[in-house]
Amino acid sequence: MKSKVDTLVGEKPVATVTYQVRSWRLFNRFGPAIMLMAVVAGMSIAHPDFLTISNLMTIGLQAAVRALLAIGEVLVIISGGIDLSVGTAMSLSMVTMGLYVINSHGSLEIGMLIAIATGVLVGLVNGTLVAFLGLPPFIITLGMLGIAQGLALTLSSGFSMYGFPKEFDFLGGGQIFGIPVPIVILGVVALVASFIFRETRLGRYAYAIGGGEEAARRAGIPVRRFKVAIYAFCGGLVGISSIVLSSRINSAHPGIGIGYELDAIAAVVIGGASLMGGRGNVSGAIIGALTMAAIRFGLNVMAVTPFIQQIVIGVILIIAVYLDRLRILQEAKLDRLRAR
Amino acid sequence: MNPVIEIKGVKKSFGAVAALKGVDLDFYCGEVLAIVGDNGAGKSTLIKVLSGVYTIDEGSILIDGHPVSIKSPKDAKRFGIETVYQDLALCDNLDISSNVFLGREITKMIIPGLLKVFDHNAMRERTRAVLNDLRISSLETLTSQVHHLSGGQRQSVAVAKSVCFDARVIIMDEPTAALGVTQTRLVLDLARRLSERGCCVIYISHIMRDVLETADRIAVMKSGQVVGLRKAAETDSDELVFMMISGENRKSRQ
Repeated sequence: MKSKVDTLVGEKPVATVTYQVRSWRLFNRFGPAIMLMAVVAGMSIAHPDFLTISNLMTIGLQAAVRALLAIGEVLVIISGGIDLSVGTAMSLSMVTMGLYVINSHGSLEIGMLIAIATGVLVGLVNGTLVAFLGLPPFIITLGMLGIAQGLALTLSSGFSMYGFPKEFDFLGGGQIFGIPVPIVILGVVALVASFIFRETRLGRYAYAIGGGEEAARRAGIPVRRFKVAIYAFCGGLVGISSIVLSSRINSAHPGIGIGYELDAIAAVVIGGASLMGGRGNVSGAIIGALTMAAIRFGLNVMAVTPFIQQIVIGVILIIAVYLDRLRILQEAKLDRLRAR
Repeated sequence: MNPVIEIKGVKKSFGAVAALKGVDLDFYCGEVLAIVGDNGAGKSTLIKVLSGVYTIDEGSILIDGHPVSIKSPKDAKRFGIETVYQDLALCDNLDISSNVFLGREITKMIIPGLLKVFDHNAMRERTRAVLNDLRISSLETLTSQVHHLSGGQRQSVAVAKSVCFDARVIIMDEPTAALGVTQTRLVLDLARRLSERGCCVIYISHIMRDVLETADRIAVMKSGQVVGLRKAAETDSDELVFMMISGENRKSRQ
């Protein structure tokens, strides 16, 4: 069979190179999934009761909020940016929803729209500042991390808000055909997001901007406008995450989000995205979040303390990035070989 | 035959530096016009004026005899002027047809009036047609990411990107600066073939040998002016270099 790679290699019979390219491509594509399976397999060996449907559901449930955040974060990272404010912006979204639904006795539906609108608004501000001030996204969104946290605490006076209507519990705690609702929401969002990433300008141009901003500009893409849209998309997912998390804890907590941004970024990176931009996808982001949740859950089952868990997650993150670096170096080497 | 582009008395200054001091030049369809000149002679400024990166201070640009103003790269593209840059022209992480159609994707409605999506097949077919047309056969797969390609192949994609949209004028800015011998060959052949298809190719280069064998006419620039215009068949590199350096329009080599 004449494969794609063979034809590109051209006249030289370089079967070994082709083989290596193929295996690295496979690794590139399925690496994160293999890592997740390795983690699950490892946990199952260490603890034979680990692999049950209900345990897997629990892992999915615990991963859902971080996975939703990671889907937003990955688009930003693909475009060569980063959003450090997703965690505290999630708190802020939760608080604005709580203020409307609990304190003002507003309707739940509008409250949820307010949560999403708050997230989008934070994203719009991030995107506008990144696109038009020309400052590094790291700095802008680090500032926004503090601003959103401060706003959330100010608006809530620092207290958790309780008293959402009963039906709100369904989003975080209900089941549809035996599947926890947050997992269903994650599934639906993942499908829509995959579609956006592949089939729409927003997704395509995020990849283009991350892969070569100047080339994108010269191709006539309004780079600034799309940067704003990319951060706004991330903000929208922050809003959705805040609704799910708020329902899960049955309250609006102004301090709960801090730390989630690092988990989201870690999930994206474990999922195969590059912090240099240009690479990443929805399934990777979700797999990254699942991997982290599986590790946490497994270590819990084995009664490993949360302190040690932090260390394990940190090690996994570094290993993931190192494997990715190996892959990039290897691919660059092969490209040079074939370019001759 | 009427020129596709005429530029008349075009001046452009950056502060106190006059980069173009009144340039007159006509461009015709079906020919390769090379522009040569030392660094700082104004050739880059001249093509950036045409590709919409800079706007002119004085003078006029006529397309098909009508005066136009080119204010942005988008304007230039609308007039059928495409530029092949020597670098930073492609997004490495996208595949070939995505790069070719970047910014001008073909879409199709899947829910009428509501939902438009990319028409990947149409874009791939069109890309394949253009590559075949240009006889770029070294790119048989359109789904490989551009960073897997060699320098010459990348230039081919950049060229395909510009001809895919019925460009009439194609500016190639030192397209072979970063290329090896065989790959340079590929790009030079492409330039010839584009002009045979009826395009006007504006070819910027330092390399006299490439210019002499590829171009129909050669404009020599020095200090912001066109100091000489020759038919490639009637000149040689000694004369061109002499004009580039001295700025004199030496009539013949007697």
